Amino acid sequence: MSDVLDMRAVGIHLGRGKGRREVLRDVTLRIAPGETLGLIGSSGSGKTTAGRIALGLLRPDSGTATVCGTPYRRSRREHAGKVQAVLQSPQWSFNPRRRLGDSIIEPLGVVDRGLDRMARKERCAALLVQVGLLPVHAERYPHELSGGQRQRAAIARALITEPEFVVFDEAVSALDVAVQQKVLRLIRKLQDTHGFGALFISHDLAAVRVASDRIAVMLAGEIVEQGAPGEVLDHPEHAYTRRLIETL
Amino acid sequence: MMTSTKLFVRRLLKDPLMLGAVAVLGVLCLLALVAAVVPFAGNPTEIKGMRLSPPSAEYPLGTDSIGRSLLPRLLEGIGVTLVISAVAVLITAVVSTAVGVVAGYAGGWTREIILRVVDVFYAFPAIVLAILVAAVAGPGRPAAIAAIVLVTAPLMVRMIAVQAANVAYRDFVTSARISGVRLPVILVRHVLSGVAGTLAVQVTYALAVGILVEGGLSFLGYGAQLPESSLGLLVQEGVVYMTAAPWMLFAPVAALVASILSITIVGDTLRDRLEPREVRSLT
Repeated sequence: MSDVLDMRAVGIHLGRGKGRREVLRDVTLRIAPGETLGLIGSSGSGKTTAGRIALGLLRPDSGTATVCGTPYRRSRREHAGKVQAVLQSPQWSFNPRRRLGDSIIEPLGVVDRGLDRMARKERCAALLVQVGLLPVHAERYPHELSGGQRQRAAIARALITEPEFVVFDEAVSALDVAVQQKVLRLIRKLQDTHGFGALFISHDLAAVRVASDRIAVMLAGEIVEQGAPGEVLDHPEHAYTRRLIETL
Repeated sequence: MMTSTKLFVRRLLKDPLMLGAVAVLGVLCLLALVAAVVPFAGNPTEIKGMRLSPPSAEYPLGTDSIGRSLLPRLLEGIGVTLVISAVAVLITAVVSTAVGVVAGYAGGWTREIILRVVDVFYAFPAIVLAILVAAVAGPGRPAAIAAIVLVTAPLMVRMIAVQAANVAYRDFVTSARISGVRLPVILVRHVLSGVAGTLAVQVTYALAVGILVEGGLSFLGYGAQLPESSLGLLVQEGVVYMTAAPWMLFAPVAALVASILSITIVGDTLRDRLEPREVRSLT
């Protein structure tokens, strides 16, 4: 079975004119099915850009990015349902004018046209229960839920198409520590059940340690160290990783 | 649990200023509509009495310079002005929403080109642009509608583009893109619903500007044409006889002020209610 993410020697420049700068240089990342790679680094190190390339939202200037065995093409529909994301902001993770249930089943409309509305609602209710919410939450509007509940609902939306690869971009950073730990345990549990590979982007080392099987450290657009959480966080080899651990 | 829409409507109903404005607008629209269907106040084109008669039981608002009763002419004028403005603002809303949403969502060069073109129109003083359009198209309703569209569209495009750009970067839009949802669906389902509040506010302001522009054009002879009346046309006639028959000026001016003021109040209230909701954190 091919890797869910295979980024090889990826480089990208962003910005226009004099503001154009190199954001990623020679980045190679691989994630096996069912594995979670934690990506850490300080702000501006290129973590989110790497995540955007992994999601097909940006195209690299050099190198290749293959997701679920296929490179991204102009149309995203080839990867529809196989790739999902849980993003940073609990406040804007859902359209405030739509009921949560409608937002959660939205990805199914792209991949599973055979399912009728009732079947989609049933799948939504089952996933809400799996992420620790109630089926009745599907009828609520986003502002009626707490930040932690919304992030759980965002996880339900990401998993509704049974994706092979999920990107968590600072997905727990806006939550308080207690809720963070619950959501992280939930992610691990769901990964055991659903078997998706994941890229877990965070500047929170404690969260990355809980969530990840391997960790990659980014500095100024380059990967400077990769390894198991115990190796990288307890016995860092690179001076930047040591500094990062001391600072954070 | 009460939905945000119900809560919004309930809060609006508790605002006396808003209620007053809606009532005034409602009465003006209703009177104009009923008068157009059932001419209860009389025929606006019929010469009935003495020239420049003051208000009386027979002619509640007096008569004009050739003896037509002013009340039916005023009701017809309110209807004509509101219809011209409403049709023009409807066209503005449709065009501005389409252009603004595309500019805001696409960003980059598309947004720059659209907004610079809009700036060119925005740079013209409104009434000069309106007169220019009316002079090119020739006097009449189509000219008035085209002029209102050109005067009101630039601001609406700009406001909607800004709001669409805000919405385009929100996580729920990115999530929809990642899920493979088609672009037209994203624009309609997510971006359009995100700009609905801004659109509602801008439409009310555009309506007020539209009435003003229509009034200005008709006053200058480029808008509605005799024997039809409109508020601007009635004001123009009233100005000619201001010293001899001030009632000819008073009634259309009062209707013009009442309609513009009430629409502006509705717009302000909608803005206060809809736009802070976008940035709230503790409410």
